[in-house]
Amino acid sequence: MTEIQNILCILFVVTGILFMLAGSLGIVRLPDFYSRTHAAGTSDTLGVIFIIVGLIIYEGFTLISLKLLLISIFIALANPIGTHALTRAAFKKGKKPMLKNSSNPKKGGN
Amino acid sequence: MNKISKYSLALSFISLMLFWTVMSGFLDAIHLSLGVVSVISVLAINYKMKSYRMYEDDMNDLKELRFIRAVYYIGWMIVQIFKAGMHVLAILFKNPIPYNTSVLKFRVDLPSAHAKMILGNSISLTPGTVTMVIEGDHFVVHALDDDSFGGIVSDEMPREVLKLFQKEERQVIYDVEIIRNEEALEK
Repeated sequence: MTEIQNILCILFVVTGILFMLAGSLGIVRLPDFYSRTHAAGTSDTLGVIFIIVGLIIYEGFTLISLKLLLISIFIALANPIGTHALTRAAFKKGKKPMLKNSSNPKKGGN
Repeated sequence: MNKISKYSLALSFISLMLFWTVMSGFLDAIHLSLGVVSVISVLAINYKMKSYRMYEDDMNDLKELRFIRAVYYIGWMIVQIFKAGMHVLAILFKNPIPYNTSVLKFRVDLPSAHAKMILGNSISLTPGTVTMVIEGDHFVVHALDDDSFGGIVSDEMPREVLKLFQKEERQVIYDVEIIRNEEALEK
């Protein structure tokens, strides 16, 4: 039983770390503000949730795993709102997203 | 200012009390009575804020929500997030990075501000799409590539959100506009 638990835990945590890595890479590699919020906001949320689910499996059914579950729910609720607030503020300020057929692709959406 | 119903107060009391019990882990009389005191004081402090309504169709209880449907929705959402996450992961590790973003504009026909909030939050939570602006019934969504917004344009996700509140099925999103160059964004 603990063997299966450990294997599942490792699988989930490694997947979570992969998502976090992809998010960090995305912040460096993607060219403009709005696409970077995809990497910073959503991939990271998924990564953190995966890691916490892995820890829940490791912990088994205890009070600590319930607390971890609550943490993941709050992250899933709060993180999209933060991302939305960022993009909304940028859009209202008039920052243009850099799109596929933009006339000056080097300039980086301003 | 509106009066808060007893049902709403009882719901907040029970959920806050459950939260207290999970956080403390002690089930004896002293800890539980301390919990009751702190929950009541939190409710008293938040009473004014809770009775203020941001929107006309704001509701302070969850009477309109279908709870069994909500459980299904959470499971469905997890599957969608996982699928979209894998897709975004593949994009971010590609070399050179394919850059294919677009902005989506559409109008929704949902019963309340809460339904719109749930839809906006679900769109942001799904990797590959971020809600930029919600104004009235109009949504502006930024998508990382064409596959990311498939679930929104095909009306799949908005219909699931509608099913949370109503039994009947109908079209939810109208006037979908996919913008791929900056000139069109300025209208």
